[in-house]
Amino acid sequence: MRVAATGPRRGVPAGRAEVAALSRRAVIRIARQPSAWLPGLLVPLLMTAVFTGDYGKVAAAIGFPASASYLHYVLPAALLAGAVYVGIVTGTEATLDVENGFISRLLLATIWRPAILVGPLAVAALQAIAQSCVLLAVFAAFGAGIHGGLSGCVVILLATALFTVAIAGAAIALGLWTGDSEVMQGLFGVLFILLFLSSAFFPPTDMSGWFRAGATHSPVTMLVDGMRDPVLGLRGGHGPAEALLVAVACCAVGIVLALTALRGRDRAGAA
Amino acid sequence: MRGIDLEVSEGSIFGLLGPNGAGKTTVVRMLTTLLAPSGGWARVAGLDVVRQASAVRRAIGAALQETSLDPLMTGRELIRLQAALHGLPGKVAKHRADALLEQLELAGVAAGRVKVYSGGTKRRLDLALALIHQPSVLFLDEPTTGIDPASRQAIWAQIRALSQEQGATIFLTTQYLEEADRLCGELAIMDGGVIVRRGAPEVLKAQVDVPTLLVTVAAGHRERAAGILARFGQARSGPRGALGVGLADGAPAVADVVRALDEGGVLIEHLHLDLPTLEDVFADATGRQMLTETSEEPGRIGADILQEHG
Amino acid sequence: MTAAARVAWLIARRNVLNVFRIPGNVITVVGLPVLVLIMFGGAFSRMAVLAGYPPGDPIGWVTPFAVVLGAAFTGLGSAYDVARDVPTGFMDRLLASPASRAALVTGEVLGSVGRAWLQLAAVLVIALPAGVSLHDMGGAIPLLLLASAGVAAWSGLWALAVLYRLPSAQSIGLVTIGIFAASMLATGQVPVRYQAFWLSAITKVNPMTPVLKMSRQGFLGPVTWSGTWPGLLALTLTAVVLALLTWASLRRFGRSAR
Repeated sequence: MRVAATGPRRGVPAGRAEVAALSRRAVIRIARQPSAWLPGLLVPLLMTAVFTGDYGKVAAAIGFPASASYLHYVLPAALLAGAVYVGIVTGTEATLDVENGFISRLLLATIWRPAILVGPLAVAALQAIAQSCVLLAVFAAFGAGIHGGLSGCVVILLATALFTVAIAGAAIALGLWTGDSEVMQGLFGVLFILLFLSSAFFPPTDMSGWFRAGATHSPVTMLVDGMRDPVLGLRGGHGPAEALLVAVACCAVGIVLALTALRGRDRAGAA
Repeated sequence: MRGIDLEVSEGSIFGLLGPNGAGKTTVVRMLTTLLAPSGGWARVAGLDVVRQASAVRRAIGAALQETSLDPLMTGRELIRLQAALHGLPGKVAKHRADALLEQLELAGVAAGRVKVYSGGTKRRLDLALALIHQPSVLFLDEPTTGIDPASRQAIWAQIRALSQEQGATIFLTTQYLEEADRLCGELAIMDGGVIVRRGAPEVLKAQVDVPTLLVTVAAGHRERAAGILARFGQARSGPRGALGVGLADGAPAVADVVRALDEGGVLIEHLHLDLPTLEDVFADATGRQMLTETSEEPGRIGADILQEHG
Repeated sequence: MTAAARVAWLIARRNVLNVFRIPGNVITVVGLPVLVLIMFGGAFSRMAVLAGYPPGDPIGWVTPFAVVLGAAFTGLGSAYDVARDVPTGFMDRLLASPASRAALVTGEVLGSVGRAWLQLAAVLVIALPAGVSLHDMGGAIPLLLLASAGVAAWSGLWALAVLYRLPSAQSIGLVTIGIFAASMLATGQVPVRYQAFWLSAITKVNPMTPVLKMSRQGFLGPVTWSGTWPGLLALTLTAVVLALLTWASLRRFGRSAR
């Protein structure tokens, strides 16, 4: 009697079902916890409101470029601040999975290992895009629309999504390494410092000393400036391409960090 | 919870036995003031758990279902904190902590952080924390769940010592029949938020059934053996051709049965005494099995006697 | 030491020790305000050209803000304590003990204060050699100690109020929003005269504003009573309101019997 061999169906890539299942789980968990996604919307808006309220009147006095309102200027920063939040939330979820043993359960199963990361990272990217759409709508309502049109929006959203994956990957790595959600607080602070150490909130020409040097050469500056070109409707430059390049590079780093941490935890469990 | 009505004698070990979801932990949380009852009243150590909650907390110790330990602290730090939570002066706390750590074999690990402790060590530390202030009433919510048999036996010994030597009243919840049987002077069986049976383990088991003696005899002696056994109780079927009898006079009648069979010239090949268990009590009360993880159940294996009569 | 004080001390000690026991925490908890000082001092150094800023002394303007902002985030330590304690059952241990609830809350708040003073020390170690000038050293440091302790207490109480109501690590985002709002909708970065009308309206009623003004004395000029008492009043009243909020949350926590 011949017995048909069991195994993956022909044409179904290994891990697709697992990625779908873990993505679904990530979506459900985030959706059921408003405290997990609300700050990602509110904090960037609050920051933008405060910074605009603080610096809007004095922008000209301190040599701010006259070509753009402060609201236009700070739009990419708001999106990236939201991306930081989404990334931190994703890392916190991974840490909670370590604390409650869910990661161990996944590692015990014979699943395609990267599926443990692909699902949450994909959901983080989608969450960032959805969040960014809301933020863009609010900015537009206050007069800061995207002059670069649909193509400009695509560039901005893509860069934000890739940056989110980078942050989420780093946060997941930190969560898997430490198993304690309190370290996310530190990562959050460090990432915001990186945002400030760039052209996100002020032109580097308005800064002084080593801070100015750091901001001028920061890859976040390339990212932010490249995202700002479509906002202002500036065409023909390399800005958007450079922004996407930086975003892709950051994304790759984040994914590598996450994979390394996952491999480390897998090996530690097998020891 | 659908209504709990019970009374626990001072100085006794009282067990609340039931499957997962029966409501045992809910009862413990109410009695330890962690959960407000939606109706009725309860007194612990003579104090009302709602109106005199603070006083109740002073009188009780609790080792709850979760080991309730901070993984970032050391064992010694936790004991020190627990002593402070109960208002113990520093020197008294240190003296008691040292004694408890020795008694519970934790002295060697107390300086390390809880996150590296084994499950059994965490349980023993949890017990130490519950005892630091020498409570008159001790609540133990599934104290041996998830730990190895050796550690379980050690914890049982400590629970018995607490009751016998210190006179503490112990309220123990468990899903392990053996634990309830061996430790508790009285117990209540709980199912679906209601107490279905209450009493001493032996009394509860005797209420359900009498012991069954299973006898395997040599070929040709069955009829004679059956006639002799009929004098001691109702006949029962046995596995693999064994003859069974429900002993109306209980387990002590085994000696009489053996003597009678011997005098009747019956050659006994195998004897097995099957005692009623708490599982039988649960099944009798609820109409279903209480599916639990048990190691050895007293009565289920029983006493196997192999005797040859020449 | 009374029993309640002892409990509060041990809880506070636990909170502060976690700064060193959690990998990487010490760098971020203690280092963050230092980075804020460097960041705001560097990013906003052009502010010095504005009329109304202390002439040529952006560091003096920013240093107290960095300290207060850092203190405002110290409550996250208490938030993480609760988020960790609830699933492990450690919170049940605390609540099932006869220790007063006030002692448990006070301990966490004192832990926030401890963290804030660690940060203050780190900031001064950077700021003083960096050239921040103290016009009134005898007044500046005590007021800064007071401001950072008071704001840390606010932060601890706010964190506990939220986490007792929503005990999960994901609720910490809500704590952060509150901290952000309180810290940034004030005169942290620019004087009120330069703010948009809506922001200046909020700034004028934000209790953080008089606290910042109180803590900047000594760095920007002499310490006076008229510059101090509004900050003290704001610290006290806000702490009372937040304490009541925390108490209400704790009473509802786990539906525990009273």
